[in-house]
Amino acid sequence: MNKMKSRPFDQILFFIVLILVFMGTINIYSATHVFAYADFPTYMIFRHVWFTLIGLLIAYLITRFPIQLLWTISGYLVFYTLMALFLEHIPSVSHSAGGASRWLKIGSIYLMPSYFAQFSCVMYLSKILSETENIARKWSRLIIRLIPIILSFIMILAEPNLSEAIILFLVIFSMINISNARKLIYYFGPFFIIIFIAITINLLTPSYRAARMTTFLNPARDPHGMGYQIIQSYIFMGSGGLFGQGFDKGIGKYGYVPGIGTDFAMVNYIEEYGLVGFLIFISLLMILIFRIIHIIRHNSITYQKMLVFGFSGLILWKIVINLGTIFGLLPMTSIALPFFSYGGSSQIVNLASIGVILLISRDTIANRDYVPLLLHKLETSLNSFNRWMDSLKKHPIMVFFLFIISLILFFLKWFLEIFKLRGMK
Amino acid sequence: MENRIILWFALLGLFFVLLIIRSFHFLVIESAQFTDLKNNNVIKKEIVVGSRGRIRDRNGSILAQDKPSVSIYLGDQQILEKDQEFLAKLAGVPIKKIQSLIEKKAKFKWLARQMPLLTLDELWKYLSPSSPITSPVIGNNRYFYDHGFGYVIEIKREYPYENLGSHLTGFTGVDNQGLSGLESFYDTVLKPKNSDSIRLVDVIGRTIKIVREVNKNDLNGKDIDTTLDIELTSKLSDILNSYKRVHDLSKVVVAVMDATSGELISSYSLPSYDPNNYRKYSAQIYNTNVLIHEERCLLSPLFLILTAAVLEQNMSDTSIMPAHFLDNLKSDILKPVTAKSIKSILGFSFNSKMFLKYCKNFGLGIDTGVDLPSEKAGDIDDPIATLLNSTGMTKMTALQAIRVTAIIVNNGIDVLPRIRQGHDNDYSNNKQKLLLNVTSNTIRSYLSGQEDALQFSSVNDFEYGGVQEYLEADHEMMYFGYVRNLGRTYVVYLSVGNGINGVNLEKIIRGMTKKIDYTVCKYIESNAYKK
Repeated sequence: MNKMKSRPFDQILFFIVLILVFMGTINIYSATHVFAYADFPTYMIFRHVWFTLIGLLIAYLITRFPIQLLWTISGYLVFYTLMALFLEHIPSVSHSAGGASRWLKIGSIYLMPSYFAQFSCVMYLSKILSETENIARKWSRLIIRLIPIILSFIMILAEPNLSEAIILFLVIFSMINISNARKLIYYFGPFFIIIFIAITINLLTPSYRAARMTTFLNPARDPHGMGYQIIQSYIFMGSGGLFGQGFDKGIGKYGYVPGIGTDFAMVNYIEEYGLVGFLIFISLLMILIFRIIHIIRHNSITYQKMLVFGFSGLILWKIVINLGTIFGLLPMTSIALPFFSYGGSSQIVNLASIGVILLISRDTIANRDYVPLLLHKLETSLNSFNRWMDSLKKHPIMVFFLFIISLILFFLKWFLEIFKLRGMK
Repeated sequence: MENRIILWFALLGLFFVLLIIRSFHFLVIESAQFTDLKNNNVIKKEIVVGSRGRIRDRNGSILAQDKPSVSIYLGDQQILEKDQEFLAKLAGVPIKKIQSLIEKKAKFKWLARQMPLLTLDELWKYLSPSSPITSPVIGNNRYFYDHGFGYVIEIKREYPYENLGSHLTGFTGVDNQGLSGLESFYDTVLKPKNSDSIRLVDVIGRTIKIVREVNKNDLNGKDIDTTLDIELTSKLSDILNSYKRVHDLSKVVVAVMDATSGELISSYSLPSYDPNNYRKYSAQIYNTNVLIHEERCLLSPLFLILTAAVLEQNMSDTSIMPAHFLDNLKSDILKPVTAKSIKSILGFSFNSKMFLKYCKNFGLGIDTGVDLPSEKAGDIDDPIATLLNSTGMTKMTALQAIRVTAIIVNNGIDVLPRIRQGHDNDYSNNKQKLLLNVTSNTIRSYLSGQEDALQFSSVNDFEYGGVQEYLEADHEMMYFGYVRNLGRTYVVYLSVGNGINGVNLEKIIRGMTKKIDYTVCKYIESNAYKK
């Protein structure tokens, strides 16, 4: 255990994530500061940075966990997140908006349990799919153990939050597909066919979702209604050209592209940095994927492989659906782009997922096989940082006080802003 | 397991390839098209128009200026009957007109244009509490109501002094373009410039960035300061109006010109028109400026030129002299002038060709170049025959006649009539002297000694005089005279007609000239020490 702890995590992956987070933060600032609040242009970026820091802290803490701990707590986690999903439907603790109960209200903080449910489901599914080598003999047991995940899926659907339910479904599906239990997909084939038929019927009937589907096929059919957002995203994205308009010179954020700070954050990024910026983003993702493949390939433990695949899937499926939506390759769904979209729970869960991947990377054989010299130096620096952090552990009271002071400062500023806003009204 | 994982990531890689192709399509191939669409959305071009230059009198009083007004228009919807009635009342048009406009298929139909701004109060009072729906597609200051009609704030030219000086200031059309008088002549000077202001706007039209800012004041047309004195004109108009009322005169014209500078101080004629509502008058009234548009066979100015010519040429060819004029020539006032003295100064001998040259020098047959459009030039075909037979071969405008009078009384120095101060082509430094002082003084004495010359009791210090002429064909009496003192000489022109024979116009004009000359005398007195 001690030996593993002393091993460094995959620092290339870590830096790629840091770069993505940094790019995303800059982009969110650019996209939101004009309309955040008249007197508080940094209101949203401040919150985003705060959640990012929490996410990074959680990710860091996860990297310090023993892997066995994930195995142990996964069952409890899925239970608690399932409870949280139930709590969403209790008015006193939940927050509803737009006809959906997706948020839990904890003081002045709103959390989306569906994100945490996805996280716990991936952790739990990794456990049960890798628990036994010969899973085929224990189908009934496996199905019973899948019930919490199925319940979570149903609860997310019932919020209603179809987009996140689809993400969960895709992650589960892909995880089952790579596991020894992939025959489960065939057993559940009729169930999937029924779901498919139900969705098809739903789409064929005149409804909001059906309109979204037809809009995806031809956005120009309803340019001022359903097609408005996607057409506007094409226009402002397309105007970015090869090199973009430059930092903070995009215009789409001035109300032209709805959701430009959240689901359509990439539109602002492409408008400002053009094709070159987008290729940089894709390149970073490719490096991220290669590192994930590297971690999986150099790991011999099924459970760990499942964890890396599941958590990377959780992030990558979101990226696929988000980019597919804004480029018109997929029907419009409301999925936040990991690291780029404004969001609290989403950012925390994404970074926590990265934390799990980094944790597994610690256990990867020869994870420094081809780390360039420069990165090696960076790694050394980070290790010094780690040592410094370790030294902090020797003084837990000081760490605790630092944390408390930062919390106080955060809430103080937040409250001041809120009071000032009320004063404005 | 690993193979399957690789397969999943391979699929992901494929998706990224698709994304790159798609992004290349968006950001390179169709980028220009999207940029155009974006620019249509975010770039707001507004045409900024300055104000038309103001026209002021010599004391700075505004004679013409821009002012906002309200125009009502109809959309392509049906309009309720009660709304139709309201609109008819508001715009002062019959309901039938509104109904016929509604039947037209056009999406935009003017109902009434350039009404006073106060009209809005009535409109808002009627429509309240309905809120206007702006129509940003068409332009600024345009509002449309769901009642089926709307209004536009437009610029209208305002003439605060209404009829006074209207024949000189002229007026502008609905599009604020000069159509008559100074407004037309100096249209290019007065006309404001247009420019595009370019802004980047957000989705609700708020400015993000000003790309090109335009200062409206820089676009304003130039103001014009005229030589007119609106106060004097007002006083003269009172005299004219009172005589017109009492004697039922069909036509009265007065003009006062500074003989030294050529500045037209005042001009007023009846019937006049209000340039604010020029459409209410016949085109004959507002398009005709009697000073420059009517060409007449006026003998008095020709007599004055002839007298000057004879004096300077010492000519005694009786064959070309009218009998009553010869009597004057035989008087003692001609004695100081000798042929020798004239010849030594002018260097030529008088003959009929020379008389023609005198006429030309006095500006006959050539327009005066006054700052008014379409001035007539007159005709000087055989002036001797015109004088002898009154056949009307030689014609001139009233302003040309005034100019002749001005040259005579201004020591023979050429005078160019003008209305605008600070003239681009300043003539004052290059004035020609057409007559000897002695000739000018002799004729002026002759004028002041005429039977027609006026006698004042209260302003005896002033020198004044003039000649009358009766135009039998038009039954019109004219007066060409001058008033002089304190180094200032003003030419006064008066014309009176009522189109009915038998009325004693001579008596009327004597009374009028007395009052007018007295007013001008007082005016000179009050302005004697002004710069």
